[in-house]
Amino acid sequence: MVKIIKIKDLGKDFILKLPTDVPEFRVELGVGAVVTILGVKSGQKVDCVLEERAKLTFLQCYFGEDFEGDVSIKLKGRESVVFSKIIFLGKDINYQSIKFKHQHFGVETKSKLVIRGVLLDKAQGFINGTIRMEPKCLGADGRLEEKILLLSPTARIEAEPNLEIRCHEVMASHAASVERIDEEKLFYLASRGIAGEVAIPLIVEGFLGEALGDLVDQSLKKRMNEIVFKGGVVN
Amino acid sequence: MGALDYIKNLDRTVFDSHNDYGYIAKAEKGLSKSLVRRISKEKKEPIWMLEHRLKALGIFYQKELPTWGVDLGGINFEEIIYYVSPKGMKGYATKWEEVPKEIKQTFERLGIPEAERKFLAGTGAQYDSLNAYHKLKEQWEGKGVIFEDMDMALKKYPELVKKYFMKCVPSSDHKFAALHGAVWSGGTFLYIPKGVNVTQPLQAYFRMNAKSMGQFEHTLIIVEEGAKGHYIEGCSAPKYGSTSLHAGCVEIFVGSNAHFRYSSVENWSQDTYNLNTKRAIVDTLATMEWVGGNLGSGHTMLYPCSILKGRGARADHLGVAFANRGQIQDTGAKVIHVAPDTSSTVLAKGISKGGGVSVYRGLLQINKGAVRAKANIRCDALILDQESRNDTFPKMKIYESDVAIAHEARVGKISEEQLFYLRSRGLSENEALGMIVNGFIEPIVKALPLEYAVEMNRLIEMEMEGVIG
Repeated sequence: MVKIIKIKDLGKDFILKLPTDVPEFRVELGVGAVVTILGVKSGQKVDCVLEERAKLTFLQCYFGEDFEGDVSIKLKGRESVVFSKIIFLGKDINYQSIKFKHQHFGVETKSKLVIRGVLLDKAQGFINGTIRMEPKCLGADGRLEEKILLLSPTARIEAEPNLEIRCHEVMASHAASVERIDEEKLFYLASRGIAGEVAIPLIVEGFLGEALGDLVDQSLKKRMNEIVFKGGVVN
Repeated sequence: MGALDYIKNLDRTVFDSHNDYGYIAKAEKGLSKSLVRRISKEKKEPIWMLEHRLKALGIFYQKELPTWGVDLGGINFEEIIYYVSPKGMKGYATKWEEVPKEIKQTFERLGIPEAERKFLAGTGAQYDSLNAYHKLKEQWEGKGVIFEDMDMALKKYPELVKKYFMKCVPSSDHKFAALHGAVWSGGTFLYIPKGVNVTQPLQAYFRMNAKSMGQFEHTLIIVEEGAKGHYIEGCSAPKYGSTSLHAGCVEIFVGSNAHFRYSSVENWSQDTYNLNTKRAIVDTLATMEWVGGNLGSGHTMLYPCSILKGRGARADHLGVAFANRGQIQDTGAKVIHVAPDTSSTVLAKGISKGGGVSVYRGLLQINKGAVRAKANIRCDALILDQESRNDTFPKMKIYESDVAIAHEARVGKISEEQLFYLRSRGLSENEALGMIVNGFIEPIVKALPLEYAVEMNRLIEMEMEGVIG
């Protein structure tokens, strides 16, 4: 039984906290609705459908915990827009896997998916991010940006940034990078008196925090800081 | 007649028309142990090769078709002819005059003999299951270079072949590698000794002629320490309306400090299932370059693979795939970084038109221990009209942290502005489109020798015909 949540245009940004007791649900954004969703819980599956000119901001974070999620966002109505962010940190023996899809049906729809993650210790990350354009979504624009920092020799990442394009009058692109912390950055901070053990958490906080941006709900930022600074990011 | 004149006369009929193939009237269709034994017996192979073939056949029967990629349900294994020797051919000729007339004419239309005279160090020309012609210029023979038809190489250099044969792509790899292991015939053996730099390219051309044919040529290339070479393969087949199957195999061993480039232009007919397997193992500080053009075939699954086994090894993949009406080009690149300080680049361009489907399917894998690995992947696709499609599935499996990986992909149509500009300069819409598409694929075509670059451009032009209206 799939739970359905319907939201209509309320004249302002509506922040939706998803129910935590339901494994699978559907969120329907009516014409012109503006909604922010603060992510699914591990094990949940959500399908969002946007009507004409609806706007969705989807923020999915998981820090220092095992995670499994499946999110699908359908831009059904013309000019609907979605901006999704997946921000994560894996440590110890975390196993974190996410399947995320932006699917364009309507004309002039826009999507952006930003993924920022840090993996430490023996954490394993699996990210499947898909932009799909259906045959009639003329003028659609879909982008995916993925940046991963691997901070330990035993961390692992498997990334699949996919594009499935069935319409030619569109713009679709993706960019992904996997790196370790730049030696020069560390050297610069060390030369300013900030040693490695202090510098690395700062860099990680900047890396993830930049993607988080300004949030009304500070609890996410607090949770991230807890893991980064007190959880022992340096090994 | 100028060497490049044949290109002006290139049109689809050159590729699509076939010669009479009466010689297959009694050819056996379908696969069986007895067919495999017959192939080995006719070629007078050593026992170990017969055993290898039979073992591969067993693996073929056991393995399933892949559950991903192109739908291979249309292959009727019972209707394919796996081996046939064209009439009048018993072993290959070393002079074009000695090649049977019809076969020679086919290759002349494709520009092979002319190219050999002018640009190449050596040439091989395979027709259905056997080599019709094979020649290496004397100066290279003198330096110890071996460029032989694969069947002949097995006879002349059995120990060398045994050491390397199907060690890079084993029969157990997948169903079509197993099929290949059982019924392979013909192909090229290239051996470049230590320190030898073969300055002119070597070429082989594979032509399927008979209907419902299967082509299973094996190319085995061994480049010893510090050696250098460039090998080009071209292939085509006529159009019949019944399926043909290409499950060839290319294995390349690049020794330490060596440099090798493998270029290929595969232009099969729409009836063909092109399921080739190409792989290179690259040793310490060696460089492997793949340059490929895929057009024509109805169904293609082709993913050249580089295994960076030695420290400091490097691989560059350049590829173009053009999917026209009724075609699925599912191609890409696989790079596996095993040793430290390895680097790789992939540049893949896909074009789809008239309902064609182009797919980039790639794998970048960085194994534990492949520290300081650097990889850069760029796959772009042009979708020329409303009916066509592109998919991009680049998988990245990173098991090492001290790495720098970047990947980028862009999909879109031809920019209206670019078209308008060219038309305002007096070009017709077709000409403008052709020019833009050629510009799109220029980084790959640039890596081909001039004559092939010109031919590649002409082939693309042919594919673009009829794109308006």
